[in-house]
This record gives sequence, C-alpha cells and structure tokens, in this order.
Amino acid sequence: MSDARRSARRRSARARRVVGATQGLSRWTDVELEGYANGLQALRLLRSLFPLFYETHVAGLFISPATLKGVAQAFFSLVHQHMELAEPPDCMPQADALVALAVSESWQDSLGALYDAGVYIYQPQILLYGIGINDFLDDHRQIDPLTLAIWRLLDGTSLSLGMDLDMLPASAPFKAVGMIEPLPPETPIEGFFTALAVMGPGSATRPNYATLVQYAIGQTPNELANTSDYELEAIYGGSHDTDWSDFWGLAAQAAEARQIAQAYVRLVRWVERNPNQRLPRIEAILHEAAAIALDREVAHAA
Amino acid sequence: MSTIKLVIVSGSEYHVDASASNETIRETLKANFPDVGTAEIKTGKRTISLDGVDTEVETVEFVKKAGTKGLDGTELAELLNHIPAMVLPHLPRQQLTPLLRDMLNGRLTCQDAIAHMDSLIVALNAAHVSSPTTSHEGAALCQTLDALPAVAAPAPAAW
Repeated sequence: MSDARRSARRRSARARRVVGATQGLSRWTDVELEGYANGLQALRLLRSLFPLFYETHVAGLFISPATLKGVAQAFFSLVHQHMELAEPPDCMPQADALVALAVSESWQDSLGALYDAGVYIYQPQILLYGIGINDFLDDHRQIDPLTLAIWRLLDGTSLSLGMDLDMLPASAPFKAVGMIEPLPPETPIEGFFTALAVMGPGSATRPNYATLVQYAIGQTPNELANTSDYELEAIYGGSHDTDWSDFWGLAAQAAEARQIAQAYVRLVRWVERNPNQRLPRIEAILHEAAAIALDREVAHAA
Repeated sequence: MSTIKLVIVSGSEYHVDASASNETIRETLKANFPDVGTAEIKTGKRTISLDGVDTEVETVEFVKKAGTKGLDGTELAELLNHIPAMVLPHLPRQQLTPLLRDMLNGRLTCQDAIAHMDSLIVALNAAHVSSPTTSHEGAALCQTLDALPAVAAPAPAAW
C-alpha cells in the first residue's frame, strides 16, 4: 500500500472518529469496536509469536483500550526486532512512548490508533528490498552505472530486460557502459550463474556474484529482494501476499534480502568511485562465467 | 569543484547552488517531500556532464528512514506496567453479550480474552451489526424539533 493510500485511510479513520464523537456517548461506534477487535488480534498474535513475553508481561493485564494499544505497541516492537516494516503503524512506540502513555490519552484515541493500525495488524507490511527496475523506467529515476552495465551485458541473452538501452543517460559514468560488450546471446543461463556463483566473494553472510547479478534484474530466489514498494503498488496492486503465520520464515527472508541489497549498494559505490576502471573488471568476470558455461555445454554435447 | 550540488530525494535529482547548506535544502524540500524532515543525509561526490563537460559535484542524498526502531524487552515490560487506568463510559443503549460487557468494563484479563477470543470476536462483530441506532437518533432529533414553537410560514411576496 502506498504512503498516499495509507494517509487517505488515516484521514478517513480520523473523520469517522470525529463523527463518532459528535454522536455523543450513546453507543460504541464501529471505529471503536473495530479498534477493540484489532487490539485483540494483536494480543492473539503476540501470544502466538512471542509466548514467553506474553506469559511474563501480558497475560495478567486487565483489558482496556490503553492496555490493548500497549499490547499492539509491544507486538510491533517485538516484530521490529526481527523484521523491518515498510512504514511503522501509528501505534508503533516511538522514543517518547512511555511519556505519551504516562500522560494518558482518551480511550477514543487509543481505540482510534488501533483502528488505524488494522492493516498492519492483519498482514505484515514488510519493507521490500528490490532494486526497482520499474522505478527506473516509470519514474526516470537516476540509474547507477553498475546496474546499467549488467543490463547491457545481459541484453542479448534470454535474461534481457528488453528495453531500449540507448535511451539511458549519456553522462560521464555511462560512457564506460557504452564500451561494454554484451554477453553472447546463446549463453546458457543456468551454467552462467553456476560459474558466476563460485567466482564471487560469496560466503554464508555475503551474497556471491550470481546473486548480485540476479538482484540487478530482479530474479534472485528471494522474492523480497526482487520487488520494490513501487512495483508492489504498480504491478501487484499494492498487496503483500504474506501472512503472520509465516513470520519466522519471512524474517529470515527479509534478513537475507537486506543483506543482498546492502552488498549490491556497496558494489555500486565501489564502481561509482572509478567506473572507467571498474566496469571493465565486472565485464571481464561476467564474460568469463559465460565462456565457462558455453565450454561446459559444448563438452556436455560432445 | 563545481558551483552546483546534486540533491537526490525519492529517486529524483535536482541541481542547487553549491553554497546552499544541507539544512536549508532540507527545509525547502519538506514542502513537497514530508519524509525529508526526518531523513538521513548522505553526502558524496559524482562526476556528471554539465554543458557537455564532465564535472565532479558534491551529492546530497536524503535517505528515508526505513522504520523506527522498536523498544527492547525491558522497555516494553515497563511500558505495559505503566499503562494508566482508563475510565470508560457506561453505554447502555447497545446490545452486548455478558462477555463483551465484561471486557468493555475492564473486568477481563488478557488471559481471559485469549481463552474466549472467538466468542469475543463474534460478539464484537454482532455489536457492529446491531449498532444501527439510526431510528433512536431520528426519534431524538424529532423530539427536539417537536419542542420548537410552531411559527407560521411567511406568505409569498407575490402570486
């Protein structure tokens, strides 16, 4: 969900709260009842995902709007220690959370905050780490020379993104990209990535060259590393196809995606410091992997 | 060194005068990019083409914070222990199950709520559905209107 849609949702929720308030204290409004339901869902999730914390600090608390808001805050904080959310919900505890609760707020405000946090409580809104190929294309975002070089290298192969690379910038770092020789069109992709994987600096905590090249074209095995927030909105209708029941798997996937994105950014920075020298080195590595893959295919056929 | 700075924000790039301070740039951008207010500033250098000449410029990138760091376990426990008591209104006009009434009156612990979670959710949903007090509100409004003194409608100025 985009920032704009979230803001609109919040404005609508606030407007409904105002309407609720003007109706007087004759009944519970839908916003307040839904706030309770969201708070109970946060309680259920906290118990399910963090049972020790629940037993120690939560089980004996008497329920009130403030308690449920505190439970939701605790839940999001515990989540955040394992996985980053795309945008923290309104009731995520900030640095001054203790002060804010100490001075107290009205029960309507507590329930309103829980109502607003509904989308986060029912579905994890995970931060996505994709390079954002469509961000570049649709928003004309400044592209970095490494990404452009990788796209150019793969341009004739079956991994080509099929875009007109002549339309891309002609400024200084990109002149070096123009000198790059694309890989042979018949490069066997599986063999290419197999060769590349063992050539890079990969380790248990560092992605190898194959993963970094796959990241540049949004084709890693990790879905969170393949898509950007913009693409989620523009291509997949803004819906995270995730569930809290997958939380620990998602947290591991998110940690890996973050690692890939950070390693790629480090490589981009390294290239940007001297593109004329460093892009040819990248080019040589990818051509060497392609040559190995082609040789193996020829040997296999023979 | 160039007389311009390259400002990068939300994927867009702008040229500004090199003499502008980063905080002045932040203030200016805040009108269109509210996230810039809390964004981290990363500076660097990049070579770009200016009027056909390769020129090294200073870059100022505003990086949006991914999310606010949550509190740790001790802080969370403290937060939960310091939640102030809340006085809720007595709202007699709504049909509520005894379990839901207990929860709304603060007589249910979290443990109780977990044990009866499904019933509570059903009761909350039922309260949603059974909350249409439009007729009551209408009746109350009519009562107020009924209390107003009757006044003859003004005659039209001309037929």
